[in-house]
Amino acid sequence: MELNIPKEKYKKRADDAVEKSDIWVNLLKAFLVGGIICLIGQIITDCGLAAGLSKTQAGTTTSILLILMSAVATGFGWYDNLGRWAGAGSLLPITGFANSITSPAMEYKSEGMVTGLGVRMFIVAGPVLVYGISASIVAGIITYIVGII
Amino acid sequence: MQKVGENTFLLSGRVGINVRATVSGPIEGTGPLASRFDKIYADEKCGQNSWEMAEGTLLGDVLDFLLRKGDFVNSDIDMILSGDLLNQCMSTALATRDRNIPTIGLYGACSTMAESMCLAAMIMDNGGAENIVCMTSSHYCSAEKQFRFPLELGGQKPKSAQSTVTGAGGNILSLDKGKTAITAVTPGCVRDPGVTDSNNMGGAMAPAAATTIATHLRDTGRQPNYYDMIITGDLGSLGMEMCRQLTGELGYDISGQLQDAGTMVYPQEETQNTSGTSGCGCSALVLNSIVLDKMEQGKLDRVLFVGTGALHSPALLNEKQPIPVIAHAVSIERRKA
Amino acid sequence: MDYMQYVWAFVIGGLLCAIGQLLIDLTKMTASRIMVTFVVAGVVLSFIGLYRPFAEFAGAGATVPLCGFGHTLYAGVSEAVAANGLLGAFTGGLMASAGGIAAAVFFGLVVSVVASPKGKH
Repeated sequence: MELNIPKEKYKKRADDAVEKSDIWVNLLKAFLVGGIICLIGQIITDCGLAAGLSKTQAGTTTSILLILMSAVATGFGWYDNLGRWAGAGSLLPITGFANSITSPAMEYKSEGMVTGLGVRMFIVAGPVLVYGISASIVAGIITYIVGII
Repeated sequence: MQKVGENTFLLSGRVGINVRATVSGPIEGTGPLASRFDKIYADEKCGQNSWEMAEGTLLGDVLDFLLRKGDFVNSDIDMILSGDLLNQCMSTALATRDRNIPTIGLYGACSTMAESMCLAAMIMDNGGAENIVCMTSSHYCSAEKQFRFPLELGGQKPKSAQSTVTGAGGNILSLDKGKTAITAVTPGCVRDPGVTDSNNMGGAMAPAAATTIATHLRDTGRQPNYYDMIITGDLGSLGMEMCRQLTGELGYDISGQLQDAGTMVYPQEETQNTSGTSGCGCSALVLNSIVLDKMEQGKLDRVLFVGTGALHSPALLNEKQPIPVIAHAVSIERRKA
Repeated sequence: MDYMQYVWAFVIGGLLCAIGQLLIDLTKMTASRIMVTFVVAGVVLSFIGLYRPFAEFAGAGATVPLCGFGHTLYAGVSEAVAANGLLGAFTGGLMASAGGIAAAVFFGLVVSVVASPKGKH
């Protein structure tokens, strides 16, 4: 016995049966949490500038401190709860990048410090580096060529 | 054993469900079925160092309970039919190693409880084997790690998503023993309804469940009201409703009989933002606790147990293939006194 | 101190994340894909000269989200190309972003040596 429903039609039916999450609520949550993380970043940057760091130094310091905070929050098991609430709001700031490196490292520690933790650390964040770095190299080569023309 | 219709095997009724056991994790242990479980772990690691070892411990405990309850020694058991969700059936290997009992590993995703009972009943009905263990397990954390993302990665899940049950369940089928007997089995066909959303397993599995249920009813010439309950394995609330509609479209109105194990395991407050639970342990916990309890107490006479499985693999999904699904039906009836 | 800088950091950072959320909800893109999209978008916007004025205006609101990481990569590359020619295309990006990447690896290691995943709750 088979269902006489074409696959495309059934796929649509199954997709339509899913209760849509409230998109405006999700957007608001992402906006709030993303905004707050960036606000914390701005405060750290300004403190760095006030302490006499250069603009670049202050920016790097901000990244490092936000990453530290995120890694610690991940270790305590808080960041996944924040992510469940905030979605992209906690995924897209640099803290989400740190979470995506720390969480698989923790998860795969049981398979060994090298074969587990070390190997799997980049299963989520790896593509960010692969495509980010590659894109910047391509852009750099174009910049160089345009420069000598 | 006699084959009828398209895919159904009628059995003599000699194969009975002799003893059964259930072991659960902490959240399941605060749910409505908690008082019926043999053991509840307060710690998701079950005293082990990894999620894989924890799941193996759950399944090993079920085997211990089964042997103890039936007063069996290893040599009384003809074979173990067991499977789980993990790669290479890790939990099965962990739970059965050094037991000195012949073991056959199965993979049917979350349909494994029904799959193992189908197979065991057919093997025994032909004579020869007297006691076969059927069992399976799943664990929320080992399943998330293998199929989805690391636990501590922050991300959202849609309301159609289901949570994998942490738990294991099983039973020993014995010839001419037990208050309930397996009277027919309908192994299911692998279906591809075209669904690619791994957060909507219920919607993906509903066509498999509906076709297996309808096939079983047509093959046996029964109407849905022959059964007191038709219970699917882990469709969740969304999938159960789709299964009800699809079975209706195939000519059988099962509204009065259909229930789903995926809506029974978790406490109410845990299910609010999900479609329910899933995993091998889901149907194994429900069948081997409340369903068979009620049958043995005489509150239910005939139950069609339909194990549902999404044969989901991350590799196939990355290769843009839809999720293949399956469902097996086991007809269980209370023996007349 | 100019408090408007904080308002813009909050608003712009929040809006960038809301765009990401829109992508998640409407296209069902996975976490990795969204992150890649944002970083590459940052590189491209920086390359065509839009991101630098944007970052000067929005401050941390533009540099903390992952497209800011893309901007850092390209800003480093473009400076290094100016100083060292073609070699700079390969060295500039990682030099400029080294602090963040190294911190993520190191803190990730230290935290995961100490902490283990917490399970469902």
